[in-house]
Amino acid sequence: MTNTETEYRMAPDIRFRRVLDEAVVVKQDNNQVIVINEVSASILDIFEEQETVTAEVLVNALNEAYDVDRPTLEKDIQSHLEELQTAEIITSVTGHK
Amino acid sequence: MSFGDRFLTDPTQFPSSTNGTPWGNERLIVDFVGGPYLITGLSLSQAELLRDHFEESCTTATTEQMGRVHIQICQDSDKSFKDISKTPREITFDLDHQKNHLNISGLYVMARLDFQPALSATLWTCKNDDSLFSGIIFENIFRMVVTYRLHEDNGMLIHSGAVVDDGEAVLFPGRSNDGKSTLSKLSLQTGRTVLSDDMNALTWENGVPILEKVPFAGDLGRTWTRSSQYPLKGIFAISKTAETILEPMAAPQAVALLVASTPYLNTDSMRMADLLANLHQLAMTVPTGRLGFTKNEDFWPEIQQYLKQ
Repeated sequence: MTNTETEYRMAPDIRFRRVLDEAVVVKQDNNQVIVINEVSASILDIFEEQETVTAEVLVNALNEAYDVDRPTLEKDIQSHLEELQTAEIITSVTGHK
Repeated sequence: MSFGDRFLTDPTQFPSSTNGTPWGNERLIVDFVGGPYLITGLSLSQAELLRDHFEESCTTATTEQMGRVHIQICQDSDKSFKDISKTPREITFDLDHQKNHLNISGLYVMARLDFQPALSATLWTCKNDDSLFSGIIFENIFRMVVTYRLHEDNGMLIHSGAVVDDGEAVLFPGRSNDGKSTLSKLSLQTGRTVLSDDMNALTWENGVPILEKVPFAGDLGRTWTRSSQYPLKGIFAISKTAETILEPMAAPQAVALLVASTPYLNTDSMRMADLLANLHQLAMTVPTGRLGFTKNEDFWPEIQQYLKQ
């Protein structure tokens, strides 16, 4: 279970590009190609700007873009972070996947 | 395993420069998209093997003739390579991507592609008069050379079937066993021209994507004549289904399919950003869809109807 203070970074083998509202993600280590949704793509945009990111940073950055209350956004972002972690697109800074 | 471990007896001896002893003095030109490609240093046997392999696309080069890309063939001892008695079913290579060059090791071959000052390649092999030289060693390295040559102009080789319909090409990207050869054979039966059922070259001309045949064999064999260029009018993912189905495919999914179908570049992390940009441009330029096809129905009317929308 993640928390808002856990730091994450993008996995070093990841390359991605925004296409329309989604993003195409290429995992170079195993040549896997994945399409991720708009929220996950917005999360990866922020990872490109900062070496490490916490859930709190993401909520603050995306708060204005999404017309939902903050608790809902926090829950949504945690869910997306877990999915990105499971897909090994991001890793926690401590090295846990 | 590290680079070269699978194929080389001592990977630390991989050439650090492009120096080498040529097999012979024979020179060939292979002329098709991105070329002409000048091949030098060949022995008589190797030249004959390549002429047989590439047929009409391959001619003898005079000493004055230059190519857009130069590939030199050098000797190496069979002691440099691990003895692999049975040719594997799937041919793979070890690739070491660097900013300005690419090191390659494979079955009885080492090669180096240099990107600066102009794209060129050097290939070291112990095979002289063995058909392995043309069919596996040279053709596979040559595919990589052509890939990077096309990439210089934002083009690419795509694992795909390509069929001409009413003067324009339709592209069906996919990997092995996706149905490219079956679809291509069915298209031939309708009287249409098939560029290739395995690999096609995409280039750009004034912002229009263009497809052209390349002299690399697929299941339909290699009947080489340099084809006309055909503007691309659609891209379809394919699958075999119980009845014909045609539905839209969004650009992100089209880009993902194209990345997976673009060999060599899709493992090059240094050029992935450019590849994604080029494929994004492609997916936004022509209609894309998903075609489920059956052997018992002609799917071309559905494709034509879809592309008219």
